[in-house]
Amino acid sequence: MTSLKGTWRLVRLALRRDRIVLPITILLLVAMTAGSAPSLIAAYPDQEAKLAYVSSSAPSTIGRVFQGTVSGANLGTIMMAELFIFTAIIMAIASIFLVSRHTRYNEETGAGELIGSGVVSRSAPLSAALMVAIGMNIVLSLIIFGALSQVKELNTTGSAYFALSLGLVGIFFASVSAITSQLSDYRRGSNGLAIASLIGFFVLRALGDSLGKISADGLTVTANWLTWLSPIGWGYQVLPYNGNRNLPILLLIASTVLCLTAAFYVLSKRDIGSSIFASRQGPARAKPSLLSARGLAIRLQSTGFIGWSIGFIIFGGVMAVMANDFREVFEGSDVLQEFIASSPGNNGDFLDIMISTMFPLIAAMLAGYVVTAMAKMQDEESSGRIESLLGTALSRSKWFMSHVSLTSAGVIVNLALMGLAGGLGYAFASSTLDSRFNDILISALVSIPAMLLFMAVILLAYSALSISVKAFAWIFYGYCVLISSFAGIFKWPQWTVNFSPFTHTPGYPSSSFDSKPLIVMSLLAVTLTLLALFIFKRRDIAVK
Amino acid sequence: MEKTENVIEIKNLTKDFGKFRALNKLNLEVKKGEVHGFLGPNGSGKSTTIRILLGLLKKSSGDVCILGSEPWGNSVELHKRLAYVPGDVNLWSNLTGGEAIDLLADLRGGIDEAKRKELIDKFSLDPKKKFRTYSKGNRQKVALIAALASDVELYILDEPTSGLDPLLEVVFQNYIKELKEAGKTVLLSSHILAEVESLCDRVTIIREGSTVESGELSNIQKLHRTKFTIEAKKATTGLSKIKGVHNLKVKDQTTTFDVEPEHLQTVMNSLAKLELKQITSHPPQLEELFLQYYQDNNSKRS
Ligand SMILES: Nc1ncnc2c1ncn2[C@@H]1O[C@H](COP(=O)(O)OP(=O)(O)OP(=O)(O)O)[C@@H](O)[C@H]1O
Ligand SMILES: [Mg+2]
Repeated sequence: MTSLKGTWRLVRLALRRDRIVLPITILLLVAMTAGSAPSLIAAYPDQEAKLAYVSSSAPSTIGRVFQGTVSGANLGTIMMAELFIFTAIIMAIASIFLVSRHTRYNEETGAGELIGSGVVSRSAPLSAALMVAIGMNIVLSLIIFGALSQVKELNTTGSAYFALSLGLVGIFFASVSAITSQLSDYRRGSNGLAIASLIGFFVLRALGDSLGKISADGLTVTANWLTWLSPIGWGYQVLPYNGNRNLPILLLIASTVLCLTAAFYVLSKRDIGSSIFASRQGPARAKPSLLSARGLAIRLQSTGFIGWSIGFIIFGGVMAVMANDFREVFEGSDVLQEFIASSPGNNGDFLDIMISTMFPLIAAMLAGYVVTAMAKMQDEESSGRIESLLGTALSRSKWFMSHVSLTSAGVIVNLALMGLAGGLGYAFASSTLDSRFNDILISALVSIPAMLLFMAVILLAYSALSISVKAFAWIFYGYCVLISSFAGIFKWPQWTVNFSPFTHTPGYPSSSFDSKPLIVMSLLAVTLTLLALFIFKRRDIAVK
Repeated sequence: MEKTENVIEIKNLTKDFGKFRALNKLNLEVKKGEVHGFLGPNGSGKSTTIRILLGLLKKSSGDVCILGSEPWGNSVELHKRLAYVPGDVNLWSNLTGGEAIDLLADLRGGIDEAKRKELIDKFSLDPKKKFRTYSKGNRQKVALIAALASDVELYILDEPTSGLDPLLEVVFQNYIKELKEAGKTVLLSSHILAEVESLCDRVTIIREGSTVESGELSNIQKLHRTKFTIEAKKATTGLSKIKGVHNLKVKDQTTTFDVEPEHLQTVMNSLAKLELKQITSHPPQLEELFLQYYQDNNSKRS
């Protein structure tokens, strides 16, 4: 057995380093799950509506890819369909990043060597990272369970199984990351391997679920055996609120133990800083496309951009498919139609309302892209790399604008991708290609000014505060997500709402297109960005 | 004012970081075509001075002139004419050494292809490795090659060789000598005294943000204590009472001590009375000279 000497101290160190990222991750996930329960209750007020939902989702192939095998008609099973897979994926990604950040990344920067030479056992860093990751998943599960158990309509045992299987999926991927961070010799490579396995498991489950058999009454889907090859599939097949099965839970625990054993075994066989897959060699000469500030920024930002683009596409597509399901339910439910007709300030179309409320919320969540891009920019300065860059004939403005223009372009492209995915998802789900396609695309694009304003605020903080901007950016992001998800439900005061740019995006297409807030936000974004540049050109470069 | 001779001219430079005064009326003059050593204990302000010279930091007060202009606000034009190797070389972990060299040299205004090839060869760098996999010395080589492959007037090198092995140290010194022959100017901050001794025409020594000594190495040495070793028939212990005599040590027959230059004559007069059997004297080693400064610095600190 490996010794645990020093582990506890490293756990405290990791918690201290993650004191901002961890709460925000937890907040985001709780907002996504527990926060959406009220809107589900509103959308499916009676049994008729629930039956309609399940009987339309269960046979749909697209539905099964993103929502799993919908089985049983109650609020809990609908919540499973709408939320489980997504939340599980995000918990998996958060766990993967957390473990690699506190293991491989430390070795990459050399901090691992320093820690390793202190009084800690060889396996302490990995044990500590895993303890933090497992702790995060447990805390998340407990909070989600606590929040859901307050919802009367949800069966408490079902909620316990729901929270437990989410947590176990998260922990499983933490242990996958424990292996990949032994295999690859740098953080990104390790994350890449782990995310690839996540995608692989997602695809297996999606295939297994789409090939599943539907029962005669059309309310239960039995997954194909392929689903049973995937830990995400196991998590789903626990079937909380409709069976609460124990076998998949055992499978999750057993496979996690297996992965952890493998990770510790590899760790005991390798040198600190080394890995199983040695780094590949790269080109000896730079391509001409790299030879400029912009070329370098593209190189540095592209991996992050692609990752987020996938997020934008999936969110956009799923939202549209979900909205279409909602609409079919809505058309079969008198109660809902009355409810919609009575709510003020809308054109009475359920699909429109869904899209115009959900897209700005999703935009706020995906603003994490802007935060990570800005963090990359700040990393250049805090790591001292900027010294080598600005020591050449590269001007400060050019360097600054290379990141700003690239991230702005990234924002526009990502929102367009979200809109396109939404439009196409809707067209597939409803088998109609009509003006809705344009509406959905536009409702994604109207978030551009809010995103750019969000970025400008972070830039201003970056120029004025230099080093401490990461904390600011994540807190501001958490604030915006919080406001977008809860301010409406809990009726928070208007001034708290006004601080988030995302609340000023007009709800298109449910209300008529109002360009005034868009113009004001765009102008403000440009002004703040220029002000940030002005300050940046006149301050000391922060060097270590 | 004629600025023509001096490539770098700093007068009364002060830099405050909040309440902390990192540079206090620092002076530095680097003449065209010389290799200038820039020395001082850790934290004395060498890197800060260099960053002000590059326009990365803003001075609090004083005059700074580099290649004929004030660096703050003119850095783009200036940087086309100089190359810089930072003290802490940190580059992009997923770029190869070769890519980083090309990028930095290109941003500076172009690369001498033949020179690049020769430098990579001489410094035996594998340009295909990702930066994160390089050792400390190899990281420094990347920055050095990027700088030396550019044809500019002024090279500013902040502790460029602290990670190089002795063989590469020789390669480095040869390149600096080559630059000197070509009439280039070099500002070299270093803790390696042998390197300073063999390369530098003049040095500036700073301590706690102020210049304490500046000039030709040989002149500086002249200003310092001469070391004596004597054997005499009479007792030598009385010498310690003479003003300007330090570190007197008597061991068996031999006595050693240091003498301040302005008291040489009085000491010589006293020595004459001791019935000397043997006498040797030599100027201070560079090493001893620096120890004097650095120790003074430490005693002040505590
Ligand atoms: N950005 C900063 N903020 C506050 N203090 C700073 C900053 N940069 C440097 N200092 C302080 O200024 C002093 C001079 O630092 P500098 O890096 O110039 O020393 P140095 O002579 O290069 O030392 P070394 O030989 O170790 O490289 C140090 O005490 C350092 O702590
Ligand atoms: Mg320094």
